[in-house]
Amino acid sequence: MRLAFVILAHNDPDNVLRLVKKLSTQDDQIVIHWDKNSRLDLQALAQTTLTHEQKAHVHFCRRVAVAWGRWSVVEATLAALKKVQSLDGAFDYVVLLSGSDYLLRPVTGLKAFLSRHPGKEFIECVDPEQTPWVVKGLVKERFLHHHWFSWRNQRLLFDWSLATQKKLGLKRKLPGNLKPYFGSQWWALTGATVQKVLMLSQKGTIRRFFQSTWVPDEMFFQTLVAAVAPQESIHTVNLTFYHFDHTGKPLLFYNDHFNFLQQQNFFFVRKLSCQAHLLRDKLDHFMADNPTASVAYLAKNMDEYNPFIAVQWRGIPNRRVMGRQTDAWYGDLEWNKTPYFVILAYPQAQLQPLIDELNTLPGIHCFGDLFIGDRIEYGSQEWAHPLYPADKPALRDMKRPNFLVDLIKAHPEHLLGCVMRLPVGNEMERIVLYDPQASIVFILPEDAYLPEDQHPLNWQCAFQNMIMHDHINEARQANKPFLAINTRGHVIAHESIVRLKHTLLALRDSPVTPTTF
Amino acid sequence: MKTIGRVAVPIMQAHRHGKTLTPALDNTDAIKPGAILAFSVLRNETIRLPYFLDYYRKLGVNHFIFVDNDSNDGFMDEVSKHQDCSVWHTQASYKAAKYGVHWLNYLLKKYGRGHWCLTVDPDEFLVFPYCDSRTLLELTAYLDQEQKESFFSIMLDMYGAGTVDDAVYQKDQDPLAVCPWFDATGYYQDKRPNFNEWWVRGGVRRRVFFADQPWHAPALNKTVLVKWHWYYAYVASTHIVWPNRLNRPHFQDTLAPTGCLLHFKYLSLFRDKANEEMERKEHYADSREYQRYLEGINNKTVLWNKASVRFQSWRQCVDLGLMTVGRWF
Repeated sequence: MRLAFVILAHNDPDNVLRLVKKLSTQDDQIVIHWDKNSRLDLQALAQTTLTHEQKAHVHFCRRVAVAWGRWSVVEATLAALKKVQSLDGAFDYVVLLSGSDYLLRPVTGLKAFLSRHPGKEFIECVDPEQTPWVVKGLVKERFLHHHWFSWRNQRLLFDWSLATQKKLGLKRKLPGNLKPYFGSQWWALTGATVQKVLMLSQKGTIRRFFQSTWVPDEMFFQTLVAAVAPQESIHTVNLTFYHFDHTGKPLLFYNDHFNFLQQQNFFFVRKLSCQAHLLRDKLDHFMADNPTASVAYLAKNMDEYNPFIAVQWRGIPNRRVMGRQTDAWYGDLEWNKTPYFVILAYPQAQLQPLIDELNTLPGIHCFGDLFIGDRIEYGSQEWAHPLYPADKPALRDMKRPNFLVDLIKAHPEHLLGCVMRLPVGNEMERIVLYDPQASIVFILPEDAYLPEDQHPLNWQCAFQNMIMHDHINEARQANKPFLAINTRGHVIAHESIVRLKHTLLALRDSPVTPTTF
Repeated sequence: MKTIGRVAVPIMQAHRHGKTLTPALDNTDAIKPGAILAFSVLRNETIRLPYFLDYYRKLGVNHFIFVDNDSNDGFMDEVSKHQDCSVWHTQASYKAAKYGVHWLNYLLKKYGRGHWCLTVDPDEFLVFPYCDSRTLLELTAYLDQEQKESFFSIMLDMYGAGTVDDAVYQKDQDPLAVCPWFDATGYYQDKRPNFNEWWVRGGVRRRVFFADQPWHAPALNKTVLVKWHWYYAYVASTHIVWPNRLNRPHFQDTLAPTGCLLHFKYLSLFRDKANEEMERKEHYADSREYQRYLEGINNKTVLWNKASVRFQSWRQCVDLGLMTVGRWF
């Protein structure tokens, strides 16, 4: 089997020549189109760096000044194909590559694959009516209207001309009986089909039509191949692995992507970073160790990429993000996904028996009043956070939600909670009512407004009830479920403690989704 | 009017203070288009220089531009060994030049236009996502592609296990070998309205030196890597840069990669430095910050704490939430 490789390149001559060396080991021929915009003379460089044998495989075609998304890309490809045509002998396949591509598997393996699929055209041909191929931006407008301006350099004119044509209702028709197809720019076609496409491309009507389409390189060959080759011979996957991100830019691969690329069932990869020498070395080693490596079928494996993007879009769950907070009030609580509980009590309630009882439970720890006073009430010293000494409340008060999250994160194996005697006098008493991770327990005073022997009205009791019920109402407004426990003579009944213990044990054992990077 | 003022004033100040700079070593002809440049203001930091140059060269910095504020420790002898360094010398006041900002703005405007410019002190070492396998050039190419002109980072204060005096640094040494510890949590971020910058405070300096008045703790947010245009200007050290959009850490819709700056201040060298700065009073707020540091050093404060974390890699910073990868795959 004899192949012809067409390489379109515009920069990074060292890696272009590296690719050339890799491809020129057998009796295949390579035609390079070197962008006329580049001041460097690649042909002269190739003369000095390639061996005599390699030079026999390498040909340079007429140079075209290439502009991204314009007809010149197709023109450059056609110039290279004409050069291929002029070379001696026939080629079974012509493979279109770019200068930043590299081999994933050796040429021997590629030939074995191609001979197992004789006569197949490896070119993406997607009908825009049926499948959306374009990730973002214009689709049908690419060929339904004239595009005379560059989208990159003349954006305003580009948009204006498109809008004007749309307003005037000007629409174009494809010449002849052509039906538009889209697909990736890179392909591998049989020699016979390339001949036919070249013949067809001579037609003035077709050339003129595509000259003013937008991104013709993702349409021209696809449309013509679909017209000249039988439908069943078109294998709509190409030999090159590539992936577009959500903005339609091709993914770039770096030194750390060797394992990812190994999972891809393809022969070439687009596109490698100019500095990814180590990756190219690793791929070379792989090919040297497996000189006949091939693939049974062409397939992408994005198992690593998709979860990465899904997670990285907004930040890793349960992890702080620097420089992105939608609600500064919440501080680190905004991304905390670890549950905790808060006991909101009135000042006279006797909470110590409750705290002691809760702290006997395995996997649960209840702190004292953390957010009030000149000392942080950790209870015992062993539960103190080393970064927040009990005698330095200013560190806590600088941002109380962050202190709470740091404390929760310091004991990942425990369900933590704390006591707040209302009113606390700072933002925490409100924040916990709205935090979805907080489980709320209210300790309420008894409704003893009119005791017989004291004042006519127990103002203190009424006032405390008012504060507690303010918070309860706020929790109800926030749709926050809570547990309410009534005291009797400021003492919490034993059965209430037992009930609370069961609730917290259930909360401790409820599954928390693990987060991994 | 405000905008005009914000453009014009830094430019005029940079021009005025730039006049005090005299070129001592000029290799700027060697700067190629697209090169990554590092800018730094320093005074008596020669001992740190070899490793500093080595580290950033490996990351992909092509040329170093220094402002030497009257060093007397043989800086010129050391730096003139290197072909990729240029030095401007000045005896003028560091304080009068807004703690070096005007000098930097002058040189950035003159040489940094159109380049990605890294503005770091000699004790700051940049860590960015994938920095063990990708170069700065690849990072900046990615940011270029995403049309982002700046790279946000936060400073991590590194310290040793003992007192500051115990962390003895030798020339050519990796400072991580002396000061491998840092605070993994205890960072605070607020958005400030004037320049829309994220104001991050925390770390060991807040915990030890500013425990009673943590709100006075110095800022840790730094935008050190910027694709420079002629009208850009640093406003307050490298914490704030103008125009405001450069202070934005992330993209509009998603997260962008951010970095960490490992800051090796608490070496034994720091005692002499703090003593000198107390006399010169050339630092921010009459060197009040340095007064606290000096007290801490004299009291033989140990910065290490049970919650300290040993630095391992950039991935650890991502896991701790101090740095993000964004959607850079």
